[in-house]
Amino acid sequence: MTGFIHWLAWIPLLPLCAAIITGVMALARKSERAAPFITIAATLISLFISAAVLARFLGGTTQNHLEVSFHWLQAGRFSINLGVDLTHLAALMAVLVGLVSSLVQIYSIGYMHGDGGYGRYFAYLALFTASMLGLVVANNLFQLYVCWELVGICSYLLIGFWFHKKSAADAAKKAFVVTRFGDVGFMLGVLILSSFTGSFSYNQVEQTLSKVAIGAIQPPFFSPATFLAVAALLLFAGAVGKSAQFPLHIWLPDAMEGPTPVSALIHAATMVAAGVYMVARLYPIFLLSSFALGVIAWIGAITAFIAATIAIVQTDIKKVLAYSTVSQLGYMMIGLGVGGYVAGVFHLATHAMFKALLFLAAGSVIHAMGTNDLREMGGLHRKMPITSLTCLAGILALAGFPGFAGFWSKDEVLGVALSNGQTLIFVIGVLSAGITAFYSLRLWLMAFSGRPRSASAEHAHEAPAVMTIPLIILAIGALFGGLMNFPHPFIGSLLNPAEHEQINLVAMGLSTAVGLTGLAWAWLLYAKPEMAQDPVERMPVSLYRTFANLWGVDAFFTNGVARWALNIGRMVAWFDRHVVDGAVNGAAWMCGASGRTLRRFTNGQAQFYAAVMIVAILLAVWLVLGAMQPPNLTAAAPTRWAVTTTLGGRAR
Amino acid sequence: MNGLDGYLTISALLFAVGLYGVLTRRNAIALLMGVELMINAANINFLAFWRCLYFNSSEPQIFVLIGITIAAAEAAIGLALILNVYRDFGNIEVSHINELNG
Repeated sequence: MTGFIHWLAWIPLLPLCAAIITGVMALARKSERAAPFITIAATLISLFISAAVLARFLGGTTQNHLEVSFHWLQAGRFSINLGVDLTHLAALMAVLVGLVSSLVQIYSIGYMHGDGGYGRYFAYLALFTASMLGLVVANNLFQLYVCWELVGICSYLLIGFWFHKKSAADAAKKAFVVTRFGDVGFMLGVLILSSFTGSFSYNQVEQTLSKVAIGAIQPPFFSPATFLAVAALLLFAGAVGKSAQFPLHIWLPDAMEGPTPVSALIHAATMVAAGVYMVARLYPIFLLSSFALGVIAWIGAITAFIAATIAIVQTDIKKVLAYSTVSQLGYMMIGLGVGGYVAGVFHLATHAMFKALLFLAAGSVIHAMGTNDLREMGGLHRKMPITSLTCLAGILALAGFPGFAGFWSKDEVLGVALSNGQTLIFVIGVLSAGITAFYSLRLWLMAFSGRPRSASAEHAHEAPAVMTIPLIILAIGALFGGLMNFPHPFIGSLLNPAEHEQINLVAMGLSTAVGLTGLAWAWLLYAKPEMAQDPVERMPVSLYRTFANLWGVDAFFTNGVARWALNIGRMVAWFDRHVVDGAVNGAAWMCGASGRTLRRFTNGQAQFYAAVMIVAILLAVWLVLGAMQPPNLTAAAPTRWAVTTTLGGRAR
Repeated sequence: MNGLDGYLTISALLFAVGLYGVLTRRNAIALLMGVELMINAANINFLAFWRCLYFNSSEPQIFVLIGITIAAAEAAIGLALILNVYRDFGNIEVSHINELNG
């Protein structure tokens, strides 16, 4: 174990080195063909290290975490460490990130083949992997925050990867700006916690806060309960932005402008799960405030429901998946919010696999078709059987079909909600599960069954092996991901041996029934060879309009928040232009004006200088003599007086 | 009016004439002549004070000698300058020599 621990730092550092090397190569436009091999090798090695750590934990070692850290800098009373702290949760997450990242990179060799930014793409991916792993293994809030922003930057760079497309550049900006709303709260939370506890370290922050909870330490300004709720909710604000929770979920569907493998890695499996991971990693802090947990559960429920309903009416294959991602992230938040720590993380793990699979399958379809529009697809099952079957595995996992990965994890989340008495949230969750089943099967049937609805669908062909092999690996994950926690609770015993979650048969039965109803309904509506009109368009028009208008959240931001912010911005700009700039320009103008006035005196005329000199001397003499107030200055004796004054006492 | 006042009046008049010349003449040589007049007014002052107030002292005479020497040096340098100005500008109008204006 002692020698092993030195390898831990390489988990984030190896992809970082790969990112630097490939980044330089991409800048120099040299040997870009080699870039994926460097980044994939680095990711695989770090995956291997984290898998070895996870295997040790599963093997039942007594250690509950492996930590290396070094003192980085001292700023006043703050000492900041950088380090790697692999808890059970972090090891699990690191393995997930490494696995999905390496599969996505392998897939990208095929998908991005021939793209102008080939080397740049892999450099970004490696940078993302490094920052995500840095976030996962962080042992303090400071490193967490830095990596948090780094993954945000990578997301920005990759959404706007095809920046010559205006929609992609806009989507990148939108993602960056919208997540900033949450990140402000997150930063405030980090600052409040660190300045209150005097440390950035997770352990110390958690210890101090637990003392606050029992009343041993009194927080400033607030009562202990309020303080804990405020701190937890500020941290959660970051998760709302990053994990696309209501009302900041609006950036994620637009983020689909990026290359599809990026959507799979960043906007489905890993980065958007960072918010969920953060809540799970700092769960001791959230556990101290039941109010904060309630807010988390409700935000999760609202997100899960709204996003699922929007997904029904989407016709862009990636948009459907994007809204389903938002919805599933809502489920994870429900799990964490109702006290199902293991359930939330379990759903995160299974979702990472089947959603990455779905996106990669969608990428394969888009690669073959050249379009995202479901209405132009159809009949692809015969043209691309591997993609179709693996996609079906992902769809059934997402829909919660019995036996597939999503079935176990989603039911565990719902079961915890029910047994912890959150009935309303449970009902919303079950409803959303039904809707999820409906839209996911709708997606598959529209794309793969029936007859081709366009020329490109007729001439589609299967993707190369470099793309299908990752699909098959992930499909195995989607099929058997449930084994992570059932029948033997590997994750449960790993993360929280105390949380013995029984299978809640009521919850499982209900959600399965509703899910199967959704599937059956979709089958009835969509399993036809011909489809003149999308059947969802026949639903009540007010409902359809609500869903298609995204529940008005986007409109609220563009017409409300954005306009408001713009007006404030204009006011500030006016103040800046006229008052601040006015002061600066005024000072410059005054200097110029005094210069222009004074230069008239320097006219080069020696006689003028002489005259000024004489006048000045006379003036000085007059002033000096006037100040002396001569006692006997009479008209008759001016010279006498002048002589006595100038020569002093000697003349008297 | 005693003797000293007479001397000083003469010297003041002489100084004023010289100053007037310095400030108003456009010809550089006339300007130089004005300066000479002003120096001589100062010399007259020295001698007047010596004559009326400090007859036992020799310092005023020494000052006057120095003053005459300075006047001579000044004339020499001034004329040399004027000669060079004439070569450069083609005339010796002081109002033309204003290249160092701001």
